[in-house]
Amino acid sequence: MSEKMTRKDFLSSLALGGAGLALFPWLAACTKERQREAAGEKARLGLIGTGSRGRFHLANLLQDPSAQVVALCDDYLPHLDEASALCPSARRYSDYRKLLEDKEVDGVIICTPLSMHAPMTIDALAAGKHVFCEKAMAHTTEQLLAMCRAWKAGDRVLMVGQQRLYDPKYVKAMELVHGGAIGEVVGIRNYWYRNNDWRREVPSPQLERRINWRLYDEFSRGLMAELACHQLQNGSWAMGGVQPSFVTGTGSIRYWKDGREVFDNVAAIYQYPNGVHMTFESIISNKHFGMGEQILGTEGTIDLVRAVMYSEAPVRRSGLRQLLDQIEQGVLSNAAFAGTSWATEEASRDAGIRFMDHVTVNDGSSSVGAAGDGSVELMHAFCLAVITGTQPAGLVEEAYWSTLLALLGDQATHLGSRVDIPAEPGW
Amino acid sequence: MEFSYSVRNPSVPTAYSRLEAMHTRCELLLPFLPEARARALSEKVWSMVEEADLRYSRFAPGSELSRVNRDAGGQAVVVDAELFLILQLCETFRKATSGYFDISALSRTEGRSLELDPEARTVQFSRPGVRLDLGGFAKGFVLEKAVRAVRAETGCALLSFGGSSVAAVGRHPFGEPWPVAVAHSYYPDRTAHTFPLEDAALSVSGKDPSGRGHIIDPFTGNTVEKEGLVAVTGPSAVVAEVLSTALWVAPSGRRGEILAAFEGYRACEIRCLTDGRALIQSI
Repeated sequence: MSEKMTRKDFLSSLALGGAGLALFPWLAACTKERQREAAGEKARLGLIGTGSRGRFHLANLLQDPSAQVVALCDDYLPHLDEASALCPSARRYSDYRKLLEDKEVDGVIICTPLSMHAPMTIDALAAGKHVFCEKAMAHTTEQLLAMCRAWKAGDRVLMVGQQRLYDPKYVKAMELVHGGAIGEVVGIRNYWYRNNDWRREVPSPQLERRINWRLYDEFSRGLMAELACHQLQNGSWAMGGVQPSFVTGTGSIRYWKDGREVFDNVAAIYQYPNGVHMTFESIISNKHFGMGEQILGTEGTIDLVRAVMYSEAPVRRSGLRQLLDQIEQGVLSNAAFAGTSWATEEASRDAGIRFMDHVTVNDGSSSVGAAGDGSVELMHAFCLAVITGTQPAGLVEEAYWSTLLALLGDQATHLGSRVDIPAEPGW
Repeated sequence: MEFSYSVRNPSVPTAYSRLEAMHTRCELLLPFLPEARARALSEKVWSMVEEADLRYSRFAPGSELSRVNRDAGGQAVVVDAELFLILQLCETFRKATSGYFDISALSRTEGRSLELDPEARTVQFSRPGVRLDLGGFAKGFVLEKAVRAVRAETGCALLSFGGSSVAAVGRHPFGEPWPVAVAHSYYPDRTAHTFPLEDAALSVSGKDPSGRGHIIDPFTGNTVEKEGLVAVTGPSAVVAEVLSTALWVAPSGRRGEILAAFEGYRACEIRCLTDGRALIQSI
């Protein structure tokens, strides 16, 4: 709990004028003023989709004093029953349209298969509900545009479940990147490896496609939508909001030949207008390297997953030699060598600079959610947004780009050729 | 020891020497002294450091401190005059800092850990399980001794033990106070804050982002988990060392009263941010 508070405090303090705000404008909605404004009030929420991710959010919401889950909806009864067991007071629905008619629901949380995100979000906005939709936003680029337009036409809040948006280590890392700590950005590497079939247990064969929707094209965009979508944000942040101009890629079903339609290994390369490449690679039949996200600069490297910065040529506080050099040159200037004790063993190897404490290193193995990955903060931010009716700035735009990059990356891996990325959003 | 003598600036010939000891890099800058005298003085200073390193390291099984740690739990152990003085000083500082500076912090203390008998010059632990760590204190103590030795020879010098304990003798050869800057934690070639030092010492405590330098809270027995640094300046290297440790450990509400008990010392907290800023707050 104390760590949770620290992370919330961090977001509050950052929102009070930290440089990270320029890159992460949606965090402004977490200011102390906003928290006060919302204090004592509760967002009345309806959860649509009570599968594993939905129940993960539900468990977090039950711990959040600003949340009151008043309705649950699923057309798959066993999941609905499990959610009801967690939150017995919530009304139960099997049709989301009925839930949308519930006047006591201020906001909905949509945790359904990808292909249903757009229709449900659009219907919920039309019904006057604030919406939190899981990532990726949509199954097709057409759906994506329709969602963004529907949101823009109204005055409701739309948030998308990309937890890195609220993970302080990404804010700190990007402050370092834009502060010049690693020089010029020359590459962005993302990978996500697992060794499992990505399947859920199916009680009867008729339910295969419904339960294992992630494996079928009709509902899913596979690894690009489910995994790459998160990591592709790293490029936008590191490049200061500039988007790539094209993507190329390839994919195949190499190992899990079990009737699935989505690839079990993919590789995609995005090129930015200045020639920088961002890569995404995923294999789900080897987990050795786990999850990795790295920003490569001319002077250093940032390991985003571990929150460590490495220097290409570590500046050892050379100590009094700096002063000696200055005396030799007849210069009087300060010499930055004081600090906590310089350790001799540092001379031979770069241990890196840890830029955040208490980092829970997420190995990416869970397909539900991991401790300390920003999910809790994200849900809390949605509650604040529902209570105050305030859309976190820039968030839909951010989610639009990460979904667009994932969908176009998916296209490229299927075509095996280059797919251009429009420079301007089409909405 | 590494020693070099530069006459590149003919009006300020300067000796630089360096020793890896006390788990860090110790450095000495001696402007104006002739080479032979500078070399002799460096050797003298570094032999003091090496001796202290041998005697007061808790990691060396043969050190005086290890002998105390091993034996003083069960019986009164006779120690030499210098170690006795150090233990007396540490006990005085423990009381003066409301217990936040405590060389027995490793073993989690609830008040006094040492029974000191000045007549017999013995030390005995008040309770079982006590372990002493003179790490930072020994550094400050030997730095103070070194300053005295240097001052006997010259009025212009700068000493640094790992950058966390720095002492200036006189002013910089160009006439200004020595400009000693604390490096920014995330941008090591940039300055977080500069301290002009003239016949003064600087001590920095805190948590380095590379994860080293953990200080233990004597009241909890746990490492202090907070971000930032505390820097203390004042006439004595030992006192600066004690104060920076105590102020780092103490909750912010207690810091003012602890510092106020020491005349002539100033302290501030430095918080380096990833966006390159450094927030400085006086204590």
